[in-house]
Amino acid sequence: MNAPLRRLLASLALAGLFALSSASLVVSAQADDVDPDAVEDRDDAATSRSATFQAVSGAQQEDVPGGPLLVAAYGTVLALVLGYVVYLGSLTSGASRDLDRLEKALEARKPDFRKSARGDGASEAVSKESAKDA
Amino acid sequence: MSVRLASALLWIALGAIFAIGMVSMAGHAGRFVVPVGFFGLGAFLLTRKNDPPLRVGPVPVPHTILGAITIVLSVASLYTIFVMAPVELQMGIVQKIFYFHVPSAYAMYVAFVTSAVGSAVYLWRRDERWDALAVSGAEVGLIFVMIVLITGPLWARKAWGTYWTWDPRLTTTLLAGMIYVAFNVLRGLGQAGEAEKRFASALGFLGLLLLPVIHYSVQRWRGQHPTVITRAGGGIHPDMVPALVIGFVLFTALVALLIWSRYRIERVKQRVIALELEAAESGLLEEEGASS
Repeated sequence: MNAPLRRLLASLALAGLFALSSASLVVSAQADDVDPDAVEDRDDAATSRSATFQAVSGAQQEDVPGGPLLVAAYGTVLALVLGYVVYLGSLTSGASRDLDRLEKALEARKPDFRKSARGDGASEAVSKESAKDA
Repeated sequence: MSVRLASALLWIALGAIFAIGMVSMAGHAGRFVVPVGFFGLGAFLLTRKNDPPLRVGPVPVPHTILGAITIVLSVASLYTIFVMAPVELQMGIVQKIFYFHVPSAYAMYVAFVTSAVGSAVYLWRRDERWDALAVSGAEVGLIFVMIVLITGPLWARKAWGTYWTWDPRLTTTLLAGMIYVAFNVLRGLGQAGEAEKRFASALGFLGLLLLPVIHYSVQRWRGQHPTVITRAGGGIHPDMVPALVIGFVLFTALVALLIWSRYRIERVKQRVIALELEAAESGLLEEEGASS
């Protein structure tokens, strides 16, 4: 199978998947107009668990203490987000260090390396080559 | 197919999704499709730009502004949650988990859709920028799915009396999380080759098909997960609305900021890999190894 045909088939497959996933959303949204019985079942399922949050003033006695659970939940969010930011920082410094080392080494070997690398981007050349190989 | 034509088709597809979302704004699909279209367009704009700088930094000004907005929104969100929003009648103070739990689920959708869009376009065009976007979305999405799957059970302990049940929404969310864990593990095993990238991209796109299942599972199948923000019933006290709205805005900014940051780093990592290949081709790495 030649490359243009393969690309065309891949494009059609992707477009089909997009269309299917979009259609499922649209059909779900319009289900109210299509099948009243099905919608009734769905609404029953949803309504049976529907909840209304109401406000209360003053402290309330609780069976399961909510305070520790709340602190644990917000602590988890804080820890995960801050932990990920720290991880991103370490990734940044690692990548920066590797990049500097490689650029210095390549520049020492080829004095005009930096200029050429900034001009057309070695990564793009490599990615194009790998795409051709694939 | 030329790149220009492919770009135009992508624009049209994303525009159509966005338009469908706008039309059905009042329905469930609208709430899901609008952010998908919005972030699809954002992802497209992000990857359309030329290569990022060869070095990490300086941080672009819009990135810094987004970071500052996120910090301000965090403070505002905590203030509205713990000072302005009232305590809920039935569940008490633990209901305040709701203001971070629901926006986290929304941020999870956004990140996974970003990853799926990146994966799909990478499979199509083999462009490293889209691969970087797919990796960024999958990794950031994993953080938010962890938040959802940890805060949810903590809330459930009080609301349902148990940390976990095999409710359809909980189960499908766990399954989505596992798909993206697989994606990240696959991409984290050393330097991913073309085959690993393609396989991970297919996995990332598969995850997209699961997202509507998660979203509609709560309506289609009976379970314990409550439906608060639906047309079918429920609702929240008017004093609780500002905390939820600010929560959504905060998590939108946060997910965009984290994906953007991770994308920039991934592009630099791709640059490092390209240079290592170049160094290997010129025999530099062998010389370095011999000297060390």
